Amino acid sequence: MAWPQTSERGERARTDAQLLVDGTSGLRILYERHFDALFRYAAGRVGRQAAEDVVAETFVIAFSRPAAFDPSHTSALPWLVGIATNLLRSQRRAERKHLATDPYLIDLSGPPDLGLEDTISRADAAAVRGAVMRAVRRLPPSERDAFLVHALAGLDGAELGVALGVSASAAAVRLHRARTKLRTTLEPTLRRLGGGLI
Amino acid sequence: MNRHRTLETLVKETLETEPSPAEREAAWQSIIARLSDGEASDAAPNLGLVRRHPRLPHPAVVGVAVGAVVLAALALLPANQTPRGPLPTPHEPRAPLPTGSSAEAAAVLNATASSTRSALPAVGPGEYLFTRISMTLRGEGAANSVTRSWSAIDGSALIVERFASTRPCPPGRRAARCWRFDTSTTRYRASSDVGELRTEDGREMPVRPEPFSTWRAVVSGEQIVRLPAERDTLLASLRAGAGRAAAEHRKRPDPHRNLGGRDMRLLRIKLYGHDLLVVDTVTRMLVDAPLNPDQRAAMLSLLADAPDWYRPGSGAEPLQIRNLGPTKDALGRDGTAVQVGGADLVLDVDAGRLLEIRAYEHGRDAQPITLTVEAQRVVDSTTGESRRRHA
Repeated sequence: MAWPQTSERGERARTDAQLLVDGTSGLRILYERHFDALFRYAAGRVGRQAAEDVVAETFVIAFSRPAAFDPSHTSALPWLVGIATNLLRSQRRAERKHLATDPYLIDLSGPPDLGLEDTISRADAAAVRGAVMRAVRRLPPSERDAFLVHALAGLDGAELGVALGVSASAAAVRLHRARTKLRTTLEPTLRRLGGGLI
Repeated sequence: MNRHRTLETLVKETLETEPSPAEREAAWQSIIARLSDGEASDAAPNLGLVRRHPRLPHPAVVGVAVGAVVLAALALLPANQTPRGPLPTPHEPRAPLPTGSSAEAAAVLNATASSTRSALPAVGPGEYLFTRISMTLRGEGAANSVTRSWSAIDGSALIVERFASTRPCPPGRRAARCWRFDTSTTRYRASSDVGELRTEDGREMPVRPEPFSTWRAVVSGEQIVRLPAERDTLLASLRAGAGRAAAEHRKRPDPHRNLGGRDMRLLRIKLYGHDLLVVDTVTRMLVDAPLNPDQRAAMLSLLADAPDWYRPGSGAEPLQIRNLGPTKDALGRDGTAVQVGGADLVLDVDAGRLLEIRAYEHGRDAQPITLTVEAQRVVDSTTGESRRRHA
């Protein structure tokens, strides 16, 4: 199928690599494809205000250097996440501050997925959030990068490697270490609160 | 807390934040503004917006913006793309005319050409063509820039632009709130094709006209009086200018390569051919060049004939023109819309004037970028726009 039928303004058919060199309309479509994932990732790390700037900067850099994208990759998301991750390295303080937010004050936007109605379970949830943030904060930077790219941007395997700028196996090692550490730190808290990790 | 979750779910629940549509849009606007400013790098690649001379950290001169916008739309859209549903004009939704109305489009352009002779007098020595243009990005209804230009037939010109853009914010402020207004002034002298630009904060720098940035890249200020009004010689002259501009541009050191990017201007010329630059230049000159009535008429006729003479490059389709029928411009003035490639020209046929250009940057079903020629007249000084010429 050469130039397939139009679905969603006919743009789904174009690959990320094509969109990147296809003028502003192409860039806009690329942006629509990946903004949400990138924002969730950045906002999860530094909070939504700083995330807006990080994401904008990421796209500015990406759009300025289309040749830096390897067109053999299907999705540009790992590449974009990699750029964002590099930018986030200069935001360590913002990240620490974000992870040190009082867990009782966090305003979870959207439906409270924890389904907690009474004060006790709210407090429990806040305790879990506090524990998670502490545990993530204590990870070494490279492992924190690996774990958060995996958890927040949903990247795995080779794509995780692309985002971190290392081989797939090195990325897998980092991810494994991060998960082991988090598991060790978090299990006791969760068990105490009647939950656990799968 | 009777729940078992994966580590990933737990972390997502704790940290993840959903973006809002407002954040998505604000970030896009900030990207556009920064790429247009050449802030991140010179490569600012296929952004058809306000591309200027590299390394100029100041807002665009609209003379520049005009063509860049038009070009982008021309270059990006397949010529035979038909609008789906009503035209995305906020004023008057209207079903598209059937295709094959290129003869009608030619008729509209030719009719405008014949009435344009009485639209504006020729600009005499010591006089200027004054033009005020407002540009609205993405059709939000608010002008993103207002440009006033005074152009003389000896090639000298004064271009003052007030430009609104988003900038990096002080910590703690939302990016969307950091709008800044800049005023820049560009002066072209009679003897030189390089403009002198002065920003609001007093910096000065040269502006070298580039293809797809301003008509001056193709037609130098001194050439403008000698531009023929006869179709074939005019076309030949514009093609020669386009070839020269492309060659000149190719010779310059390419700052894009250092950054791993590519020069989209050259790529466009390669893909779409020199004639895209000719169409771009013609459209741009109709906006703010000090053409005499015969030259202006010839330019409009050239667009009417475009399907005949336009030679697409290796990667492009033939240029298509179509009559889109009556419309209103951003100021509510009645006009007739004609599609020329990827942009629509709104013409006041009886008055022989170009009212507005709508460049469909983001495709036909998105809001166009709108350039409205709010006022245009011949004046005898650059100190007051209101001093009319009483010839």
